[in-house]
Amino acid sequence: MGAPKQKWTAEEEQALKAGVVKHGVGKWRTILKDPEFSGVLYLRSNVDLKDKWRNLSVMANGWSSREKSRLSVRRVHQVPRQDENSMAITPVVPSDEEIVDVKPLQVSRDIVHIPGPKRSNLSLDKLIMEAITSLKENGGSNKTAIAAFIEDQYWALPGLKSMLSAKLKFLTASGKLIKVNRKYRIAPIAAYSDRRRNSSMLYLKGRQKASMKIDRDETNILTRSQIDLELEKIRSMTPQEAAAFAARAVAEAEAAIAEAEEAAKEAEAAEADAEAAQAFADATTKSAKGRKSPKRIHT
Amino acid sequence: ITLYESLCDQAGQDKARCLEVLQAEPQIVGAKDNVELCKLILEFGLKKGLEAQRFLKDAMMTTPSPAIVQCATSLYDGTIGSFKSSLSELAEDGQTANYDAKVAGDGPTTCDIALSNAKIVNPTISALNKDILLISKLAFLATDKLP
Repeated sequence: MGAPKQKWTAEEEQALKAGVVKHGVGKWRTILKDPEFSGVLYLRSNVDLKDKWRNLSVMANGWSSREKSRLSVRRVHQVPRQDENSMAITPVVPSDEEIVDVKPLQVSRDIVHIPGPKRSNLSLDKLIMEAITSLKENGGSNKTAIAAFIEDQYWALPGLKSMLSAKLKFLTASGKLIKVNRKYRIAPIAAYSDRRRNSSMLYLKGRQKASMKIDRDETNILTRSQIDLELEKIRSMTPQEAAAFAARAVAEAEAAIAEAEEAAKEAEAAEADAEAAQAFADATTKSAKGRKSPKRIHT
Repeated sequence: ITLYESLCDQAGQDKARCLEVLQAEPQIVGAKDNVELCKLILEFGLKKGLEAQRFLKDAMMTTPSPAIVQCATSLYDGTIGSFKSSLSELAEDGQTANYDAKVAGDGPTTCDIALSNAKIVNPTISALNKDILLISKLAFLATDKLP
């Protein structure tokens, strides 16, 4: 666009995220036309929305703020030397400012050397999600296949099998994975949302659209979308509901981490809920695929 | 003067390499209009991106480095996704196709930086990154003419 750059405001960013929840990733023109968002995003084009979403995804995808800053600095130094790079480089200053705004996820990509428990957990989460996504097995992948994938792609990690067992249990308990017949697949919606039947239907639709439209690194973008979904849900609650929600989330996290047995029970409940959600998602997918008209009406 | 030669004229310092790369693609040489040229260059970029990703995944086996893993997975997934997305937008939205063509070059650019930070010197990977960045640039220049 020829229009001069305008820094994205927090309000605009929030409208973009809410628009993606409502209409899905890639529906930029639809979001711009929606009266709920057009009042805030009236200065933005569809490409502006796509670009902003991509920047948010890139940072959620693995660049910590420190790494991003370092990259930005290096890019500046490279500009005078290689004309080619100037085509690809995003202006540095806005990126640096956006880093502060966006509060990127601190996800480490240092796979071979995993320093501490926290970073190890984060990395293993990503490895598991990537394995299931890449294997693309119908009905999900079992632990053996996931372990083999991780070892093939990223070299053997010490104690991988036992770490993997604990992590799979945790992810299932927290609702990120669904376990059926010893196979794991990525859950279509966060477990907490399943506890509210009416709202889970609405969020499920939004999430399904997001899933269907994503054609790049699906796992990473979903991670970000997942968090946005949770945040959006919390924002729409009354203070009492938000407090209860937070308390439940904390209780569930503690149970999953501290007690394997209780985590197993949570996993069973999450699995049953997720099965119902998956059935609904499948129905939604079939319904969406059946529509051949270019004009889609989102109810 | 043919369409692809005119495109290479706009490529500045990359003109010579542009002519060298595109002359080897008969379909691109024979493109009859700009939309066809855009489509063929994006398909070429997609093909080259997939080839590069395959090479990088092989390289992962011989050089156990997180930087190469990053190049082979998320960075080139992004590049391939951008070329695909640009192709799908050609008929619908020229501006989006133009944007996607440009950001396809972010993958090889960031890959070069990651390898440099890890002090990995692999001339084949560098050459692949350079060519794909060039194709991204050419696709950007070609799609810039779309309505």
